[in-house]
Amino acid sequence: MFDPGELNFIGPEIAVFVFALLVLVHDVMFKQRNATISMGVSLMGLATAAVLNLLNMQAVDVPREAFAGAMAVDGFGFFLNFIVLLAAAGALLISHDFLRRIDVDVPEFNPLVLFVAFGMMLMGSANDLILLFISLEVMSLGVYVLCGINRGELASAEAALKYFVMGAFASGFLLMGIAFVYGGIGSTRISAVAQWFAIEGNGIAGNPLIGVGVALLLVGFGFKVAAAPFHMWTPDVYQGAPTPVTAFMATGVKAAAFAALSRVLLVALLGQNLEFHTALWLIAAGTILMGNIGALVQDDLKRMLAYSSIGHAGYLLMALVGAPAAGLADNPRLGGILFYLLAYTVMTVGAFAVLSFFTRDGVEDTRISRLGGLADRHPAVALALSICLLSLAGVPPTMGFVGKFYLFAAAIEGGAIGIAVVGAIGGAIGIYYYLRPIVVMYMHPEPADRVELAMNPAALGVLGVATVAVLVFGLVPGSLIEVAQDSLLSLAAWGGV
Amino acid sequence: MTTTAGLAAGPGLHAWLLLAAVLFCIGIYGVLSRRNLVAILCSVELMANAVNINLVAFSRFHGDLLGQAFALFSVALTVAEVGIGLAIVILVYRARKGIDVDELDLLRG
Repeated sequence: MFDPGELNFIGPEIAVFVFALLVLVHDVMFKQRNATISMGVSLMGLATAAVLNLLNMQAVDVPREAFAGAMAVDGFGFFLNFIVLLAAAGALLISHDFLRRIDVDVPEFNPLVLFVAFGMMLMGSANDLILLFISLEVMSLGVYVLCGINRGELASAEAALKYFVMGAFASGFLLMGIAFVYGGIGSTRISAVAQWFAIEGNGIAGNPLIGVGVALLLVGFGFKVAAAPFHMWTPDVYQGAPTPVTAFMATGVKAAAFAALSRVLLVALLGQNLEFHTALWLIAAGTILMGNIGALVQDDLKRMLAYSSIGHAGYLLMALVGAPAAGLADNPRLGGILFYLLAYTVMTVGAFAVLSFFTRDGVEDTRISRLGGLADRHPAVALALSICLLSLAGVPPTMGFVGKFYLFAAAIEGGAIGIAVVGAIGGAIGIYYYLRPIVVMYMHPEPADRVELAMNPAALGVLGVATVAVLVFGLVPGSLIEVAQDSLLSLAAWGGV
Repeated sequence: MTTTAGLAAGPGLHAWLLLAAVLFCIGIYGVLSRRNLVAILCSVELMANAVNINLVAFSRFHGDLLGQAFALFSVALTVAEVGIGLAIVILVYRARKGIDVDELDLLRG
């Protein structure tokens, strides 16, 4: 029944988990813990997981089930694992000096990041809604704590509280949705839902239970990926949480939640697009507009990036609106979803690495006006931040442009012209607010009460790697796009269509 | 696919679903309207328990144990969630000397 060889497929997850325990034990055992060792071991864990993931990726040609169908072993999951590992590594490196500066000396930070990454990785491969929910909770519970990790700061506590209340509320909806899906078809397997739909005559219309279930699932996922109208918590939480945690939430949490949502939409509900197409359309349009318009009026760069992250979730939903009813192979451009999640992770981590430099007496100060004169003092940092912001805005030749191109192409090829127009409007608004910090950096004078940037090698390294990656994969995206498309197409193996 | 034999002895599936739906809605109402954080936590618990009733009812309706197994997982996860929730409430209480959500207005805009 149980084949020990299947443990290989969760090798990356096991590696992250074991290393998290190691770091935890190390941090607890030594009173004078060595932050560098703790960081090094954590990064080793992520690197080990990445290697194991690569080996799995090469070993598994044909998607297959593992653990009696609870887990889907496919390219989609492997690709997401890489994104999660990158996001975790970025957050850890940014946090290394940052936590010392804001005077947060907590041994549980690094293990928590690893545990959260563990949950995220499982989420991307979950073929069973039960596993999906458990891994989602493993991720969420860790992130609630990470948000409030800066115990002395009221904003951090408030962010943790708001995220917790919204998260627990959303989990309730998601759980209810899963219960109804189970009630409707008698199974919680995502692939079983697809097979059930594939039977002639079965559909949302004839089965109210599954209709309610799908609607509740959409609401629950809407909260998790910060889609309108369930996005209200995002700016507050992103602003209040410590910068490295925000970076991790904006990238890892969003990627994992979006991957799970994509798997449900593209595997279980692919043929059923018509029934809830309008709802998805409205959510996507609302998300794009709310995010981009909200970002226009922000004076705080961190809060602006929070609104823009809502907008980016909207672009990803836009591509999902264009999912073809006949089968994924009809619209290979959907691979842009995975590519964009990766691109968004890289450029956002880069931007947050710069944001982490802006602390004053142990308190974060990320107002856009603080950027004044940055180009004179630190031209390289200003240039790198500009590249990351331009990439977020989708200006060529950056990774963000390539990703956005594929998202629009996916929507248009899928016949969703209307939503692509909304997306283009959002993108145009985006250019304005992404340019504002760049203008401040290059043209405004330094603020009178300037403080020296708290630059540190680890975060600078993250910034450098992110900037180079944004440019390189913007200029020669070919092979990466192919991998992303193949990874997304691997989902077609599960469909009943 | 479905066996309804077990249902003959008690109230039908609809009754259970109705109970769960009512509980779930009370929970939603509580989260949205209560100001006290502990009351909000209780409301979240109500929502989770509504799901558990649903899961067990469906499990009996389908005649398998999947739903009941899931309900056990769900209970364990909810307990963990409330544990963290209470810790966060204490964190806020220490910082503010109060747990009224209306007073938490530091982050706005």
